[in-house]
Amino acid sequence: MTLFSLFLVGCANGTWTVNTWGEEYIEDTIPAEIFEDGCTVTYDSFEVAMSGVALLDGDGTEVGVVDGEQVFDLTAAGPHDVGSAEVPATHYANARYVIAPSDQLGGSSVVAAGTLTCGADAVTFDWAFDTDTTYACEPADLTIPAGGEDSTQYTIHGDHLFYDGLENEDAVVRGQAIADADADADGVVTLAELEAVPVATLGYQVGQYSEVTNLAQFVGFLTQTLGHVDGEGHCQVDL
Amino acid sequence: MLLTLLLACGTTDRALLSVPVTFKGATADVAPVDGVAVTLTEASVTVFDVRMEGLAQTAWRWSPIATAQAHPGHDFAGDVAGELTGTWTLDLLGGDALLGDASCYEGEYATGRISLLADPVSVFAGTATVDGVATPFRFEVAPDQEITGLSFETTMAADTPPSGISLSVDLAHALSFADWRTIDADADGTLTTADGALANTVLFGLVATPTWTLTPEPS
Repeated sequence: MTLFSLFLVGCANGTWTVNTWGEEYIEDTIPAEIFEDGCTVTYDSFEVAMSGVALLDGDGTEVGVVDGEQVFDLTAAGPHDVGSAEVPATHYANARYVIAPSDQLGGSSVVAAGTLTCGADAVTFDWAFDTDTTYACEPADLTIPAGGEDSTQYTIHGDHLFYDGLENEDAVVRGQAIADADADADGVVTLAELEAVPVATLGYQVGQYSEVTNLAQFVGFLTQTLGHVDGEGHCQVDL
Repeated sequence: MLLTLLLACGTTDRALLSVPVTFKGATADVAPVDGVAVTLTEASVTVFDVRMEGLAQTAWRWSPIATAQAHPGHDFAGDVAGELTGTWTLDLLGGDALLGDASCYEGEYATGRISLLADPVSVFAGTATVDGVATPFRFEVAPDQEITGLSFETTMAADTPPSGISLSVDLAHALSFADWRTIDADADGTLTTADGALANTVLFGLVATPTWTLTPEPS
């Protein structure tokens, strides 16, 4: 190998940097205009256990990996650095991450706590989920330059926990049914209380996921729809 | 038209089969839940388009067909490989009805989907006997939704084409989410979607994937 070719190889790599962000909806509040029924949500914590961070080439082969599991509380001001990897300099269309149960998060993958306010009703919640979701994403326009860097953001959408549909395109964000689930009226909505609410009575839709029969399952299912890429970019998930 | 799109994507080396699609009429007497007997006198639904899909693609490749995405409004399905387009207001109790001939590429199939239309409304009427007490009911609901994920596992081959595809409805499942002990709140003597949560529960059952079945008939 000549010095010239060594020089070319050396310059053929760049740096892929990764961050994650919960946007204003998680850091600040989900305002009433987002909710079909005028509710609002303010999160006190929104923790996700992230792993499996990788950049893939067109064949699905990993070309850059950020090792390890990390837990992020997305209510803290972000974006949050996830890591970086040296990768061949080229254009990429495929990146992946996993949100899965972690010992660092007490065996959970997503833990969300906060206050849901619907009119005069305000309830708190502190829910832990153990869903295991792999997000296969198409970054918006990711080109790693030789000797330079480009970045990908894994964006988490906190409003998705309150969608009223699992599959229908006209799903909207609602909160009243969850506020009403506070059966003992202690101001705290638990997952056990959500489990007691048949989803069929709510006007919610489950599409083909007929195994989802109660509100706890419904919200748990929605934890598999939190992940996006570069803001509004969608990721494939195998549900 | 999705099949046209597939045509443009180079799948035309597969033979195109014509397969009749028949709606299989349902029976009027059903038991949606223990202790409840329902006799239907009227049951109608408006169905729009019947589509059959191949195996879901999970490989890293561009696809013109939506795949599962982390957002409501997307489901995990393969490419559409067979379809019968049209709109039919079905008398569910009126016996079998031929809907038409679907165009299907030969090959493997995994799932299917239909759409339900809100206009005209779907109607379920009859008498429910609960704990020995008979109560008339009339539910009118307006579904506007695709029913996705219908199991349709089969392989179609040009030399042994299926004799048909049947679409059927499980009315017991469709009505199983309703609380048949709901109080007739407006005291009009008939349970309707104005009573309790029946508007939601009847609609939920009608659009539930297990309520509908697509079955390939053997050749």
